[in-house]
Amino acid sequence: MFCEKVLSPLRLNVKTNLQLFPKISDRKFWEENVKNPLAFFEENVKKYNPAERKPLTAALYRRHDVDGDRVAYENVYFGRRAELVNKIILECYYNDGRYMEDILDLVWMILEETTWVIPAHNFRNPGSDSLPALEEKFVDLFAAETACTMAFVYQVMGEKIEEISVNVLPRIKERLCGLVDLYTERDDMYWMAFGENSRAANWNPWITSNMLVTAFTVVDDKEKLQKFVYKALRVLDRYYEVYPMDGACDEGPVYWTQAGLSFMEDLWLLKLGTDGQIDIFDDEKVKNTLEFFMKVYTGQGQVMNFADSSMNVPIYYASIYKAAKFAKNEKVISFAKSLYDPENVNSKANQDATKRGMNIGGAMTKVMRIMDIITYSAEIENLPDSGFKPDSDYYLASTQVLTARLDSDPAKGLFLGAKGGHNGEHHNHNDVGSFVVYKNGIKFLIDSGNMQYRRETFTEERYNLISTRSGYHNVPMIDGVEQREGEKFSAKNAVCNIDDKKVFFSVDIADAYPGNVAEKWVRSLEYDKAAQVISVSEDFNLMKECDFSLNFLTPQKSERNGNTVKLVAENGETLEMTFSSDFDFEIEKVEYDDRLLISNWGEDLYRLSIKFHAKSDKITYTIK
Amino acid sequence: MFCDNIPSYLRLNVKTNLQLFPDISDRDFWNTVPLDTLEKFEKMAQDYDPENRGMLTASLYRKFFLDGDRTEYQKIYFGRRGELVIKTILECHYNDGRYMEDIVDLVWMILEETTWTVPAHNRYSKGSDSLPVSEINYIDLFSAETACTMAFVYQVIGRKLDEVSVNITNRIKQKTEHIVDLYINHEDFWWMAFYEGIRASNWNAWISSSMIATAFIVVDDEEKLRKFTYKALRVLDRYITPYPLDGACDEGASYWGHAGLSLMECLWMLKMGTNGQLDFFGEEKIKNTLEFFMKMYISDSEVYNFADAPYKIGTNFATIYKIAKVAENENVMAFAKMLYDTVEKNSEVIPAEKKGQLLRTGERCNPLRAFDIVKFTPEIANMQGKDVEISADYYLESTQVLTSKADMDARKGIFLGAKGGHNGEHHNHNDVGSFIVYKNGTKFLVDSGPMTYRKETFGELRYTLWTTRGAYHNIPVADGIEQKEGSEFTASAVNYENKDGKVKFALDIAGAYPAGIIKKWVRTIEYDKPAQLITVSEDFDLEKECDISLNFMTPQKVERNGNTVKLIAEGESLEMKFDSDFDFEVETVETEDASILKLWGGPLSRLSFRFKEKKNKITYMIK
Repeated sequence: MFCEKVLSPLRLNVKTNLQLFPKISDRKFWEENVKNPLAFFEENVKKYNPAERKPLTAALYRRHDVDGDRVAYENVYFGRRAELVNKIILECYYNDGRYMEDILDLVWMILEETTWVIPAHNFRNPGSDSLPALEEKFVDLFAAETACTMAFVYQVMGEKIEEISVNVLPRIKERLCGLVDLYTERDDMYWMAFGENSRAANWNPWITSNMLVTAFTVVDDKEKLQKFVYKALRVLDRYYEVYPMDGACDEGPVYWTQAGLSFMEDLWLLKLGTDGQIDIFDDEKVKNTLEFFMKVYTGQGQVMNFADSSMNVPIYYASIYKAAKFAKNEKVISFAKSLYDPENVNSKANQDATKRGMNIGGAMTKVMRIMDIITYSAEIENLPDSGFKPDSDYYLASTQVLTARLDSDPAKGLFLGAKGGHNGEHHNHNDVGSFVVYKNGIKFLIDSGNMQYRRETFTEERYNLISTRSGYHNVPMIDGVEQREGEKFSAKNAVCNIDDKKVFFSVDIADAYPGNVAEKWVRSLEYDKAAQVISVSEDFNLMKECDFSLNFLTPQKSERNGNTVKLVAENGETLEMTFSSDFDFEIEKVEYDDRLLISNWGEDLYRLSIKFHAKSDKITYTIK
Repeated sequence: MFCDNIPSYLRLNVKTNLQLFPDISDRDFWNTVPLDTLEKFEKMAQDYDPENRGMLTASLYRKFFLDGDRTEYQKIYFGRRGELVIKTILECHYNDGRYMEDIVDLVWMILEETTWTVPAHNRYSKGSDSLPVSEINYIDLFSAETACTMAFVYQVIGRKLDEVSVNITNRIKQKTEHIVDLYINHEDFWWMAFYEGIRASNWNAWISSSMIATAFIVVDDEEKLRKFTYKALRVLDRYITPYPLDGACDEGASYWGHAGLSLMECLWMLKMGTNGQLDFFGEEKIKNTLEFFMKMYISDSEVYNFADAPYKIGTNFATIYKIAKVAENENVMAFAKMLYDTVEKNSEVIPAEKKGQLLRTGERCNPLRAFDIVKFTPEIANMQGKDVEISADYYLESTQVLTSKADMDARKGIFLGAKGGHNGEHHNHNDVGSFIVYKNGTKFLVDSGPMTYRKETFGELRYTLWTTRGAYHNIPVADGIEQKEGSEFTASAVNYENKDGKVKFALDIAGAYPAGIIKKWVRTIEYDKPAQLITVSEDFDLEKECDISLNFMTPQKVERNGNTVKLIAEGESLEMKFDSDFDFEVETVETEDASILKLWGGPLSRLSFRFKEKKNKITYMIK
């Protein structure tokens, strides 16, 4: 896509020293724009106590290797960066030096870190073991993000830092140029996806967006910058090529905020940095990518979640707005406006989500996102009220993902989310054929989302974790056998029909199980909008007669009455599942001590098992 | 002296990978560290709380630049190194991994420090301002000592570090070798003293000792090591050439521990590292340098102090022993044994580095010295042979320094220390003609020693600090005018006699004052040993009639009775009896300085004796 338009770095019109962020001396910008969200930054900054900053010791670095924990290191690591960004914003507003000492100390600390690659990603750096190698040959997500943060410091605060010491900026520059060189010169970083059979994921555009900011800030040499930008085009091509035309992000909606949305940032940066020479906002795939988030959004800062995605995700309304503005996508502009909460510029939903503990470091470390909030909030506020309504139903054929609402408001009536797909997706959970049901905004049948990342999350032990296993998703367990991981464990014959009155989705999930279990298992979901009933049929043919169960995860209490299971929410709202035949019923309280699950669901998550014994049958049930 | 017979580095026989310290796998060595030594290290290890190591932030680095404080940064900086050396030694003994995590953390932290040059020395680094430049281009005392510390860790426990991660020892090697390269390639570091008019001081020998240990451990390339060794000889030549033949260290006795003794360590390592090709221990000047400390020593790890020396310092007993042994100097070996028996054996911690240095710079711990304690303590404890022979009197002509005791044991009777010299000495205080008097081990007339080092200590403001001023030393002030700094402000007509139990030291200190005030001021101090009486006469001729005062510093209480002033300590007193009347004032010298307060247990008093009578001679007796 990109490289076919540009034959050689020589043909690139690159701009060195691109002013992406206003300097602190741009008083008008900072005073006018920080005024609104000031309370948020002032409140948030209280979290950081300089006297309690911790060293990032070797022992802390090694913990991921030694006992699998990555959080202890990352808390300190991200804490430094978040404090730095927050205090820069405040210093830029007040401009009286109150945070200069902290800013200097944090910059210096970060510069002294041996590596910016976090322990969990260190294994990808050639020569590293439990500690990073002497020579760095790898750029990970957060090395790139740190570089971007330092580029931000360099652009915005540079003149103030020079007044303190002339030995800070050159050091920032030297370090950042080192990372730019790695990006430009090495083709072997896995996320560039130049290796055979290598498929690009969120790392590709996410790292690239941060490196673009970095390079446009610190690379003075035009030829070098041309080479870097050309490399970025080659890298992004690998991402664009595999991304489906319908814009679906198979890694789960939370990753869209770093994959699809980062890709939008790449396009924005490339357009700015080449004076419009590279501009593909008109592209159909780009348009669909931009719209994906809107399609899986279920209100209240939440999404129809699957794979390694929590239901609560950060709501980057300003960045979505910026991308939509560049793409001239009125619908998404209006969607962004609906996400914006004038009571709280950082968006209430966003704050709640961050409070619940995002596993990717929290928004404060993402300077482009923070700067978008500062730069565009007033503009968004002044937009005429959009009266935005999403389409009631969306189906993404590439990943076989469905979202269906009563009407545009996900908090009214039944919400149905369902997916087919396969078990070799990025950040996969074994969840082929799973569906979730919410009613009037209350979560009844749910997907737990992922647990806090630790070493096991990305090793062969991954599928020992309950959050990844099909036994803890809303799919059948057959003769004690669960779905298996791998791309060949896949849905087939997916069908989706959407009309004004009904949404129908059907998929055969037999192949998602090991070969000797099921010949056919067609799950069909029909959502009758007027009746507000979802009818499910499970039409199966097993290899032998055996016990099987339909499992569902719910945060709600449940009671059985005959063939009906009733889920009762705290506010009295209920959801009834009525089955066509008798069954054994079991409720199991899911045991976990995972911080992320607890923050999303509290202590109470139950697995309902509706148990049957048969070889070949059709079980139907209604949900209302 | 050192390069004299060696025209080129090509002629040097160097040994790479010299085993200066036994590897942790040498269980025979490490298992036999004696229990009492171990307990002391263990006790020091307990002082360190890994949870509260503190961070070396940019603003802490900048404090020296902004408000002159160097202690706050150095406390954390030296704390890291001290903890590392002590825990490494303990781990080598226990060999069970108990300190490995701490060791790895400390090594890693130190490796991550932008520079090993302390803030107070940062100005020597080209391109540095309040923060260091990113490329290390300078070696100060403590970057060298840090390199040595890392080399020590590398040699004794490297294999254990490799088991934790292969990415530690290579980084130590890279960083320390870079400093070795700077030592080889730079001629412009002031302490190398290659510039005209520059005289080398403790930095020269001290840095070289650290760098020699470092280079012989980490440099694998023989040619490079030869070049390094030759450079070390050239650098050390600049130190030894102006050093006086009598071995006197003008920087004060506490600096000898890192000047003279460091030079000895350089020579010891050079001898080992060249298979005996370089051996200077037979030289007269080297012998005298080795013996200097013994001559200044009083008792209880205390010395006759002047200049930037506090009266109490680490004994370095094990290192002194090691060197004396190599130099085959039996008397100094016996002196080391005496230091051990009287000071170190029964102390709870190892004062070698700790006691003295605590006062100035936090808990510095030199790995060479710490290791000597581990290695030589048993040998010293079991040493048989003659007791040390210490003369009652020593006089060092080069610096005009005198020490005189009633007996070999300075705790009996009166001890007199006096100095002439000039006010351009290294670490100078304006103290030409000053003398101190102790009696039966109690300090009566004293030299305060230095304050905690800070920015002003080595800047233009040095002589605004009271501890450096003539007015706060035991010398006269005339018409309110004090002695002045600079080597031209000097003593003259210095004379020392010692016969029939009488020690006599006379000098004219008029030249130590600005011109136009004093024509002549001959101070004569006579110590009559049998009578245990010191008689001082001040014989002067002023340019004009004016007020004069004799000042004395004391930590003791004071009573006046007629022409006699009595200094009273617990169970002991000293009388100063004058031949004429005087006005008398006792001033408490208020200070917030931690070193002074800690060393003296509170502020000192200054006694001022004022004489208005037109006379040109005052005599007084001290007993």
